[in-house]
Amino acid sequence: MTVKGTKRTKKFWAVVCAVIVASLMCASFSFAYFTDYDRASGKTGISLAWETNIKEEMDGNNKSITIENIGETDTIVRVRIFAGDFVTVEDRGLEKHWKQEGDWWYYDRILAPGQTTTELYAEVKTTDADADDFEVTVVHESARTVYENNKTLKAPEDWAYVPEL
Amino acid sequence: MNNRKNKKLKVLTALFGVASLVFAMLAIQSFASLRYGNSRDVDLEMGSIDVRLLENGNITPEVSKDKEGWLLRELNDQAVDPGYSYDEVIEARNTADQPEYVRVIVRKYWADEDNKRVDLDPALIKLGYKDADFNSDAWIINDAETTSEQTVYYMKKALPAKTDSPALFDRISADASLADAYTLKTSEDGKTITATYEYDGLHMGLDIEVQSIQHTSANEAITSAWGVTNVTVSDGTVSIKR
Repeated sequence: MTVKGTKRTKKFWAVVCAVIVASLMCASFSFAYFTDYDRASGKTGISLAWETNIKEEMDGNNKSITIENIGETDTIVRVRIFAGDFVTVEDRGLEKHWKQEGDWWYYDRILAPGQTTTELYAEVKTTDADADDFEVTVVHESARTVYENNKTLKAPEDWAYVPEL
Repeated sequence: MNNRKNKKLKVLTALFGVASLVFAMLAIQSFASLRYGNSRDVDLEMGSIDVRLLENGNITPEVSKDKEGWLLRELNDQAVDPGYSYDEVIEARNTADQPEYVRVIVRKYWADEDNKRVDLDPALIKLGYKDADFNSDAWIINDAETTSEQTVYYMKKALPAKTDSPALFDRISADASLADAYTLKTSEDGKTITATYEYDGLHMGLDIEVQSIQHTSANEAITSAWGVTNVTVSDGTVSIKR
């Protein structure tokens, strides 16, 4: 009986010791070094597409040209008019925003969504008899605004001019 | 005979108890800081450390440790222009009563509406500070922990109690070359050419985690808790072995 009791006592203390050792090991890892963290995440959409629409209104043989930004992002625009020597092009806006560089007319403002350019006017200078023999073709190009830094717009390929910020 | 054994057992148990107590005290002491007041009393002070993330001066809400959708929310109402830099000032705030060492883990990614797009290049999301990639006066990169998915920055000095860190970044932008990644398609009548952009309609994502660790026994703490062996603190300055 005494031997049994001693064995039980030994077992009891062995278990107690094991529990204490295990607890202390856990405690040492939990309390040895204090750390904290804070984490946040988020995302924002990128819209690279743009959409512009040219409006050509006839005024006799002449054309009144404006471009509207019908997309959701800023754009820059330019216009080229094919009509030989029969046409002169004039910026008819109250404020002059069209700038000619080579064969193209560049609008010197960023066109925000919903905005329309001022009027560019193509006046045909020929007799009525000649007027049936030619066509005034207007080409417009637009591009998404891309920045080289916060002070300069990046020019699309082949563009000789971009608006200054 | 049995009495002798029992006595031995009791003595061993007592010794073990004392050893355990000493061990526990040592473990606790590794965090305890000694503070000397104007009097000559010495206080053994226990406390916790606490760190929070700040974006553009705004501190994260205390709802939980992980805040999804909190970063970049100010940009959600505007169309992000490629190449244009937007304010993104990232700082850490020590809200506890004692200094702490701080590191920041930054992950950038592209995502569509539902999932991350690991096939797209996170390097096209640009974080920066003034004319540099980050504020290298106050922060240092640990290349050993940096991958294509994440960059780990350590603050060079301990962040004092109740203080904001120097900014790690102050701006974010989508690289201008995004506008060069497109394919052109001409309409059937040949009058309209449409560009389709690879990154159009995607989201640029940011995941930032700031971590802090006790300033006492910093070297042991950094090794044990953060699991890095090439970061050491000497005379209050963090250095990284390359």
